[in-house]
Amino acid sequence: MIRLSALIGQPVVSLRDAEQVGHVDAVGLRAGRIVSIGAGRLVVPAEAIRTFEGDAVTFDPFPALEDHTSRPVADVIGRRVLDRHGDELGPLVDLDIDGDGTIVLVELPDRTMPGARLHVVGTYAAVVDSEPAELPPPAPPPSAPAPS
Amino acid sequence: MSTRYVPPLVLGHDVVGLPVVDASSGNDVAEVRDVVFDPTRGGLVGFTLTKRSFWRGRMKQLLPIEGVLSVGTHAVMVEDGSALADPADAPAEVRRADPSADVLGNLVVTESGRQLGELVDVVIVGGSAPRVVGYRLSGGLVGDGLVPLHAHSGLSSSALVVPDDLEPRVRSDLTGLAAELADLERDRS
Repeated sequence: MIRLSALIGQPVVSLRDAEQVGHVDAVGLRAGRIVSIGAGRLVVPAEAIRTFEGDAVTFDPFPALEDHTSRPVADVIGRRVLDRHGDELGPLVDLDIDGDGTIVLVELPDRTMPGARLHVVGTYAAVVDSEPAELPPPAPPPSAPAPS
Repeated sequence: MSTRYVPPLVLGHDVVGLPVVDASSGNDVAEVRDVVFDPTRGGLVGFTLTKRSFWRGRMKQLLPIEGVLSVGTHAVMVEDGSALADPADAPAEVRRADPSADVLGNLVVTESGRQLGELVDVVIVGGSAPRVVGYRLSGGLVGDGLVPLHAHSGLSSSALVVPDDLEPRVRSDLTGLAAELADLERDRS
């Protein structure tokens, strides 16, 4: 697990020639996942990245990106968060991210929500689904103490 | 724990200036310039738009109400950019928004002829089925206030005629109006 705040600024290293091509300065987020990272003018798709949990982001060679919806966005932390009703929930504080790029938790100033609710981050706002994508299963009732 | 969503009550002039946000990309694609209200149908039919660029100019494209995902307190959400329609493709009632049919400035009178004031704004319930649910009055017998849209109100391009029993239902704030709307709903059912 890594925080987005820790991922931003990490060196980005190509595994083809061991060249450091820059630092993570932007992230593409869609449907509860990291779909790309930006390092200067380079956009690296998430599929090319070995893991997000290291101290540096390493990536394998990848074909040129065609999908413009995967373009990363800078300054994700602090971006306004809107739900799909059009109500603002506050600025994005941080994200918890799994090694494969899955967003585990979205942190807002007054609450957290499951990462699956993060729909997309754009140039204006991060949009989250209004209702929980999945309610957690109810906690089992506490077991009765064994008779002594 | 999930909570039930209650659509907000907002004044028309508070919707003006809200960004129109594409929920599929998180980008702002326009800004609300004006609310298009069809007094003959008594409904909200769409929005005219302003560009979001530094040089904010009027957009030719319109946002018909059918393209709105939700009207919230901070943004008007659309599913994607295709919600914005070129004038040729927009429904006639949005395309032909007639400035002479502007209801703002209308006289508000009761059926027995008491002049309650002038209509200065509309009250909209937001959410995924936005609609006009009331009016804001000013400068008349009841002072500044909010009056619920009543099934038996008559609205033209020059006057709003309301039933006599609506006068005591004029409220000073949106919370009071929400309570009146709930009462009217109970009376109807």
